[in-house]
Amino acid sequence: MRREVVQNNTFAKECPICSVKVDFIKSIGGSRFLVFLGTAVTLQVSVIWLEWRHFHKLHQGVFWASHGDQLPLASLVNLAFSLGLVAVVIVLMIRHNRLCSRTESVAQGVAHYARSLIEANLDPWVTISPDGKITDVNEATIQVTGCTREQLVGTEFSNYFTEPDKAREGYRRVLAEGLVRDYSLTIRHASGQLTDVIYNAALYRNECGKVQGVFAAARDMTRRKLVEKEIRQLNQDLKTRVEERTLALTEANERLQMAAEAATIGIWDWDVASNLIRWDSWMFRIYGIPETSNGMLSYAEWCASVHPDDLSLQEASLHQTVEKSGKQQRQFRIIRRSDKAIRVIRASDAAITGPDGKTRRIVGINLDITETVGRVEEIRGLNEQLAKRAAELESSVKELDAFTYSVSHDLRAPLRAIDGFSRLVEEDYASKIDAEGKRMLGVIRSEAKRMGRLIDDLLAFSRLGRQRIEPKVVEMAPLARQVFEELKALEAERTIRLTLHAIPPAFGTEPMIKQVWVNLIANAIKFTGKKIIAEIEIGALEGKEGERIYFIKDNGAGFDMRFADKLFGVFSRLHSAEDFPGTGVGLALVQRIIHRHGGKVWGEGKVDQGATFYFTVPDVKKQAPRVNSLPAQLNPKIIQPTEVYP
Amino acid sequence: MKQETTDVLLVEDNPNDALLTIRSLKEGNLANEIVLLRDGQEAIDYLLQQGPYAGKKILLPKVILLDLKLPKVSGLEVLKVLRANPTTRLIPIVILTSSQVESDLIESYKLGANSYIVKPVDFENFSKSIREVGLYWLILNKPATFRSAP
Repeated sequence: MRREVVQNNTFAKECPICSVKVDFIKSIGGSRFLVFLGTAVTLQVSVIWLEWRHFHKLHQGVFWASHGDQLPLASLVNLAFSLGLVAVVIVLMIRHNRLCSRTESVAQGVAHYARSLIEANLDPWVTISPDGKITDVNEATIQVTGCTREQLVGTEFSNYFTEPDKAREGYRRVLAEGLVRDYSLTIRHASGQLTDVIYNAALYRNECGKVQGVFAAARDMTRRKLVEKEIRQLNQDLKTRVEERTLALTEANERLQMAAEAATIGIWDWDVASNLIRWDSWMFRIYGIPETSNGMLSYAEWCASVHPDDLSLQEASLHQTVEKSGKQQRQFRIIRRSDKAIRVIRASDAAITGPDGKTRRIVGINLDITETVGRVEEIRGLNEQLAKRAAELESSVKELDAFTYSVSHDLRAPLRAIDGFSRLVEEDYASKIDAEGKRMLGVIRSEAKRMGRLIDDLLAFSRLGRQRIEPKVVEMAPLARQVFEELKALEAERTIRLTLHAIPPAFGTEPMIKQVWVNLIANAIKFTGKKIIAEIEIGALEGKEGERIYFIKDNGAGFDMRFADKLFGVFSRLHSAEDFPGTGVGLALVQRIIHRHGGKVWGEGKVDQGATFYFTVPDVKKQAPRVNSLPAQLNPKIIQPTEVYP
Repeated sequence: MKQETTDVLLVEDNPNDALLTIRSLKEGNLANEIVLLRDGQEAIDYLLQQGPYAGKKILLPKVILLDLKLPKVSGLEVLKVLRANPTTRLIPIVILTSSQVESDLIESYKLGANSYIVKPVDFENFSKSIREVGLYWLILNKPATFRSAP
């Protein structure tokens, strides 16, 4: 087998002497034939020698008497014997040849198979002669060097490496030590491309054990190195990412810690199996317990801090969290260890389950909400007080109602009696009372009547406070005109002119708004009483914030602005009753109505130069049309007159 | 038997008001016979002939002038009782009061008052109002026929 390999080897073919010898041997059927031939010749020689020395004498008497006659007979026997031997040899030879040709064909198949394996191998393989010349290569070597087989074989092997010295050193080591393992070298391709390889090399010998050269198998390390580089890169990336993530987590944790710190939230982590709870520093602060060195606390210690009345419920709740692996929000009281103060805690916890789905840990937070609860209590208390005050107020209003009723009934009756009986005295005792006495009785009666009017106005004023505000759109122009006409009819003998501008509607409670117009127009008529022609102007302006301002202006007695603040006081008057009668309730009533509608009222005037009263009625629901919705030419100042009443 | 009647039944606790009212009615020559009762309970007892008036002969009025603020039983309650009783159901009742409280006014009409007069403070107006009430209810108004008292 080994011989066959050698035979097929290029090295063997290149040796001419060997080739002839081998060819010859092959042509005559192999070495066994020589053995047989040698044996046959030796036998022949031996027979001839025996014939000549012994058989001659032995068979002399038996076959032939004469020497001359005996010799041909012996030769004939000898010849026959030799021919038989030759025939045997030929037969044996033929058999042997058949056997050899079969063996040879099997060996050739095996050799071909082996060569295919060698060629198929992706690692470059090479055999090098003892003098360092390449003797054989496989396909991988051709690929990695970029040279043909013909170019490679017979050349110095070290030429193909970037470090020929190192290559030769390796080669020497193989020769010295028999083999070399994992010897790193770099092959240079014809194009200049480099391939990192590691070599495993060993001596190879012929069948006699003589060193024939070195067999070297390389392994392409480029890809492995690439992969290694990639792995290194990936590892580096992974490391970087882990570092970044760790940093981010650390920062997030720090932020959380800071947030928890700022929010005074305590964080705890209860390991169910060990029954130990890890507390952060705020937990210790909340519970008024000195921080333990490892931040750990037993479950029992926590239980000891919980208010005894709340403990069983809290434990039940916690165990529910454990069993259901759920989340809970709880509120309970603790007794702070440091000062024995009862504090209210809001707690929130969530279970963390293990791979088996069972609760391993519970993490949660605690927040001391005592102050908040306190504030809530405080607010509740204030609300209660407020409700109490409201009830008191309501009862006051009822009392006021009763008072009003009483006033209206009880105060009027005596007045009526004063007035009535004064009259009766006048009638029944007329003859006994002189003129002065009658005048005095007259004073009594007129004052009683005035008091009656005061009471009526006061009652009207007090009733106003109880009336409901039910705002609707009130058409102001027709209302003002109607009121004016009604009041003017009472003063038929006077000349009163009204200039009524196109005033926009208001949003208010109509009877009350009407009362405003009644009081303001009545005032205007009253205080213009000394004028030959009374001039009254009613209109609307637009205020700075777009609000409607209604006004009524007269040319009457006016007033001193120094006393403007007394205009709207109850029973407060700027004119004497002799000049202008009145109770001093009219403008107070106007102010009360306007205020109840959320508006403002004010007056401007000069003595004997008339007065102007302004008021606003805000849009309660912004439903009433606004002044600025009127045509532009009617804005901004005074709206053009539409009607003039003589 | 014909039921004997009187012109006016005045239910008024204030003697001064009562005097002024009676004087005003007499001045107008509108009512000759006026019965004056001082409180709500007395008014009910009188008209329904019960209590102190049980079995006594009474005079049914052509009109009742009823004050609201009365001792014992208020005017509104008197009104309610009289309107619920067949004998007094049809007698015209004029509320004569100082109260201007709207709830009084509405409640009076709901209970069947025929008129509601607020007493004016000054005597002239008061006197004039009383005379007009008398004129209307005693002269102009035609009342339902009285039924015999049981």
